Amino acid sequence: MTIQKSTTHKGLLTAVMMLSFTYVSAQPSTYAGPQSVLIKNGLVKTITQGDLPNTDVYIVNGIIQGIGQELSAPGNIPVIDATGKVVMPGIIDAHSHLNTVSTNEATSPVTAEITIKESIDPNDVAMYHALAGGVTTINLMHGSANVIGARNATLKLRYGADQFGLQFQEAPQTIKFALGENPTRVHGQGTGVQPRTRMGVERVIRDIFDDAIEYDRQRQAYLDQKEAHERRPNRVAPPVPVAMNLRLEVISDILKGNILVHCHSYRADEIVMLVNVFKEYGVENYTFQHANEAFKVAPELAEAGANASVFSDWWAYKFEVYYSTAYNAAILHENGVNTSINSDSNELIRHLNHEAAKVVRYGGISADDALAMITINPAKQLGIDDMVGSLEVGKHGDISIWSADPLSIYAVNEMTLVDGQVLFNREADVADARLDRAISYDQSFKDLQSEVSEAVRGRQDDACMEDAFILFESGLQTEQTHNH
Amino acid sequence: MKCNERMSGTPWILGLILLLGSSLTATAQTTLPSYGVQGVHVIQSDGSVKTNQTIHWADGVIRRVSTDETLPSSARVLAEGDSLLILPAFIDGLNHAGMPDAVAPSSYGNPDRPSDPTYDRAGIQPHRLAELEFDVSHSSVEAHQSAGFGAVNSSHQGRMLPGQSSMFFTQAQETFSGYESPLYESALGYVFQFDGAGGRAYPSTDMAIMARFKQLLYDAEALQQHIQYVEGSGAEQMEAPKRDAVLESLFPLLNGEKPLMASVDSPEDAERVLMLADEFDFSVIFATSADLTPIASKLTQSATPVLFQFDRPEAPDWIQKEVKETAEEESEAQDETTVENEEPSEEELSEEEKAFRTRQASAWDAKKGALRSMLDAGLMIGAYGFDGKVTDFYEALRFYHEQGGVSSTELLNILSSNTAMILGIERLGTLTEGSLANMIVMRGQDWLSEDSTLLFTMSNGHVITIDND
Amino acid sequence: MTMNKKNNTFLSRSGWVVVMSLFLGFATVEAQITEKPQYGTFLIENVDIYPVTSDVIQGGVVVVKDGLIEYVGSNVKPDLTGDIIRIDGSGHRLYPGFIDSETQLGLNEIGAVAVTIDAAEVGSVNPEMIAQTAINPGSVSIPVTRVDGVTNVVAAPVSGLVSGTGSLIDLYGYTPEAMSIDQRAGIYINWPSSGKRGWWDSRSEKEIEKDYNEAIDQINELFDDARAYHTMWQAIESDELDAQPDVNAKMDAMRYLFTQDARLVVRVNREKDILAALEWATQQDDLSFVFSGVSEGWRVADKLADADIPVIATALVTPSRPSDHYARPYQNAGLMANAGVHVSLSTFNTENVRNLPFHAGYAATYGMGVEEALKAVTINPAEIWGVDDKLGSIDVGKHANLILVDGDPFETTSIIKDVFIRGYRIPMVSRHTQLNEEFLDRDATN
Repeated sequence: MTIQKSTTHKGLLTAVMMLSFTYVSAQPSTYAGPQSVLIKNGLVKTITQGDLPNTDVYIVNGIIQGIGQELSAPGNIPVIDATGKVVMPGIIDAHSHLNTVSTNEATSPVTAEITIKESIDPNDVAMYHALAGGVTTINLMHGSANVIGARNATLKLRYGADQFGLQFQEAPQTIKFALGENPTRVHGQGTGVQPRTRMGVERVIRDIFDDAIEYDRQRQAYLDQKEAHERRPNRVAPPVPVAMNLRLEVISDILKGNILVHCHSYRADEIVMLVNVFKEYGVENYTFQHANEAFKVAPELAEAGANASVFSDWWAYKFEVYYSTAYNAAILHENGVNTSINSDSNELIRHLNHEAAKVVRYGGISADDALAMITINPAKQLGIDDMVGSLEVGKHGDISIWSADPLSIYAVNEMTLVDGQVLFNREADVADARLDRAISYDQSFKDLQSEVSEAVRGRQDDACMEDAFILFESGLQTEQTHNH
Repeated sequence: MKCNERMSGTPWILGLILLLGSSLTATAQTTLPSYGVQGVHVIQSDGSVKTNQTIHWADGVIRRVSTDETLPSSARVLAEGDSLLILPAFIDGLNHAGMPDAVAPSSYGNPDRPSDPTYDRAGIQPHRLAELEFDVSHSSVEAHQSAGFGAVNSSHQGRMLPGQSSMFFTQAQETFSGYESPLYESALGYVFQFDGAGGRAYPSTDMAIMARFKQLLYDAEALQQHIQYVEGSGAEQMEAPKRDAVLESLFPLLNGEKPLMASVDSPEDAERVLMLADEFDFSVIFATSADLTPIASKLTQSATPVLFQFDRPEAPDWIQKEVKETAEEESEAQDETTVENEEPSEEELSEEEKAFRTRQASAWDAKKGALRSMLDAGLMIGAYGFDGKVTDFYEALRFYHEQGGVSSTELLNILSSNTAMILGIERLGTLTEGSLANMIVMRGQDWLSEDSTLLFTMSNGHVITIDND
Repeated sequence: MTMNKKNNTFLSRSGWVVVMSLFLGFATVEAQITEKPQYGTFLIENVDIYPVTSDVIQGGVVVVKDGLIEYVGSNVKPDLTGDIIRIDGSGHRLYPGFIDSETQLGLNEIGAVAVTIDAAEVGSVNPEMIAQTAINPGSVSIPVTRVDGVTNVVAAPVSGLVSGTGSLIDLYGYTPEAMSIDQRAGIYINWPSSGKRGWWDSRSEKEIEKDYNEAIDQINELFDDARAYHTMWQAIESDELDAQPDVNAKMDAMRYLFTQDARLVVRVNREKDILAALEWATQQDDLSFVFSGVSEGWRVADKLADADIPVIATALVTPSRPSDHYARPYQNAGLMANAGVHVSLSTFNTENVRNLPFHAGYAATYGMGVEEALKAVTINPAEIWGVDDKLGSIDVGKHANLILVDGDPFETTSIIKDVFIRGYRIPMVSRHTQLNEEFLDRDATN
């Protein structure tokens, strides 16, 4: 597809199935801030307001200003001819470790004081690969080694931006929790500290919640007396200082509803456990991640208003996902649970449209509902559904444009826009999409060849390596201690 | 002078200052011989060159720098002649020279509670002052002498917060009254690095190191407040604070009195440190071999200086080969007897590899130009991290000069007065009357040239004869 | 569409009650199948037949009898006697079942539970380890796989230098023997890598080179020994030599390579390693090679084609180098096929071998084309394993391994309606469908 700099647009461009590109020694176009663009005459899948044939989307300074027919824009606004194409919101992945510097601080069962925002690698080419799959927003998460992991970072894939520019600044803070085998294996089995069991997992959560409530009370009393003392030094004695405790501040923010919980979980019982604990402590609006057995307690989740973010079909890689079904998402959906399909993988994130299509296969939900599972539903889970996840006036100009129905295996993503800027354009694509700044002078073509990842059998090996690393590797600061 | 204020808490440093101060008066008893050089070229750190100069120093302090003046008869003439160059001695802005080896991470063992290791096990040791273990006779200090360093800011080796660095002379003498302390100034700042606890202990990742550091500062804040309350009025009933040497050692950082010397590998890590500095309002000195140009505006805005490590990057093999072949071709072109029509040396490369190489070559150019680009961006650059290999060090300097577009004056500046300025040590890095007698004597026309020879390094007035065999 | 049996992945409500009543409760439902497959003579009518080896027959007829395909034609009703189970295939398509040439299906059950992993034996050289003996016919993943259209796989060992002997099986049967098509399909070896094995590999360049050279020496020694052993036994068997050598199981297993009964499957991925393996392979002209993995096969596609070595590749993986184009993994199979390489597609997986048609779909979209991609999951693998007289296409006399689809089988949203394996009409039931049946509309009060 071409971007024209004038409003006269040409007819349908044929989709080239075999990618043609030349080896260009330049990085792809990088993020340059919000842009204006007019996308003409596409089949617009709004997600929230149905499909609109032959419709234009007009984005001004990164925000959708108009959706309708025969929209016009000033002559200096670039025009994308989407005739014969499908225009949909950029895909949102509610579970990713795409470009973390490190993923797991696996030394402590609770690490709420840590933030993935201090572990963002803005130079990873994997972001471009995800953009090529139509993804525009991700939930960059801490791993699942700890019962309460680090706070996550909601990112926009503004390829080329720095670690701050990538952050979806308006998005609410979320945090990673993890139940079941991973935390019990890492801590209980690995280092002999609680939790070793699911009983211990619940205890860890309740104890830290109680600690946070007590801390909050003491800290507030200290601050109050300090203020009073400073106002009337002779009348009010100075208080014994209560140090700011970053970990408990964060936990306290969870209890106050300021931080959304995204909880790695698999088994139905542990899912219900957390629902009950959260009910007791008044925590709302949370999301179960993976949640392979969420289908068993779908009515309970629906009643609690909990969300689920699941794999389309991953299972059997560990015991707690043995009693799984690929119908999980459909069952949850049918029971009224807001459900998204996530990747948790730098491979799956390249084709989340295909993963969503599996929900049609396994459960027969509608195509629109399936697409909602990779757009508006994950947006709700991340608390950003007022800004992204559907094509509506006032929302961000985050868009992917497909050669055909995105649920078709033959559909190819043609363009991805973030804030109105085309950051992936298949027609103008380059083979080597690394950022200039990400290229190391001492990494030769030959060297890279020697570091080719063993692509095949990758996930299974990774799953094993991950175990080995967490348990046996002395240097825990390893890259990608990935957990799913 | 700010450093005087800082030193007031350290009585024996004060003693050193007094000693230096008294030596400036003409009647002072000199405990060291008085030295001089005459008829030499003096190169100042600003690049200005004066010929036929005489320098006289005594008791570690430069007394006179003048033209055509004869030295006092009591002075020992160290060298003379117009084939000699005198430069300010180099200053290593951050190093572990003279310090004991680091404990290998593998020997740490795992704590019973990985989430809560002791300070030492976690690598949190900001209370450690380098002078407690600095050994001026250590081979790493000797190596510094041989490279022309008259002073080194040394700290313990370790992990996240290994200690506070102190500035040392690279030479000290044994006298009748004991061993002269090589310490020039104590506790210049806190060394910080993204180096986790190792093994199975918290913190193990960059993000956890950041969080741990923040919590330390919160804890230190509270403790400082507690101590202040208890020492103030109206707190008679208050429980005594639980004293904590580690937290208390951080008070000057919290109070903005001392900088954090942060070793970073990337602009991203530097940005993370700057966020912390912003929150707690302390100043930072970066130590890096990375190109921090991408964040130059943040650094200049916060007046954050950078200590640069002069490593000698190796060009990719194929670039080295190309350079060599070009050189050979040139020499062959001059040599007419060479047979023409040689086999084409260029192997058949795929389009992909050609494109790859083009990008790699750009990355190599960027690496070569990193220092130039940081200077052009207006960053204050000093030097740090001499690794003990003298030849490599000078090769690296020449590399940045010849291939990186940095002038020899700029290099000298970086190695001497800039580093001194960054560390707040005004009497080092220049050759003026009243400066400390830290200088080097070279034979040659151009100090950076391969043909020049380092003859003497003077540190605190002590003359070190460099063995050039 | 009329079918005798339930033909939908959704059981009717009453049907479910009946099924459930057979059991005390769900917790006891451990069997992989809740009903037995149907066997007999099947007449599949009005169906669009995609035979793979010949043109599509619109609205055709296929007769399955005695486990074999007895008739394939258009609108001609052959004379059939006895009980006939008629299946109306209106609006549906019939394909040969898909074949995945490298899986651990049946060998591994739960990835992270070591005691359920039978694909990795201890030891470096294990040609005598035969997958078939460890295949669990009751593996929960088997029904999950076949109801999505994959009817045959090679289950292959994975560890060491010579991992073991992979076995080609039907995904139906109560014993490994019953499932077996060819228990000695191929001996799988892991070509020593000249590079790092991944980001976790902390070996130095020198160590890597040393390890690599040692491994190559080991391979050469092994094959020299095996060749000599084979020659010796040929001489003994033809009475040219009178000797009674000790039993050597490893060498006995290797002999199948020299008799051409088993292929030598070389797992190799990097460009450099593929070239090294190719060079080695040219020196072993008494062996039948297959290269597997070949993630950088597109870089050396011409050389692979020249060497006439078939490959097993995949599509849904990440690019192997950071500088690679994002779509390279999708394109790899097509680029090789277009260069003339004989390509089969695989998931290289265990529990999600069911995704094989999607690998084919991606390969088709990114240059391979639908027709070639279809071959890559049917007739091509059948040819690799020398069973193209039995599997891989809808031809008279071949095994009735068939799938009935409501549309394009590569399309994610298509539904597989019926699966036949060796003429058995497989119940469209798996743990995944069973859990769906129980929990889709769970009693929320209990």
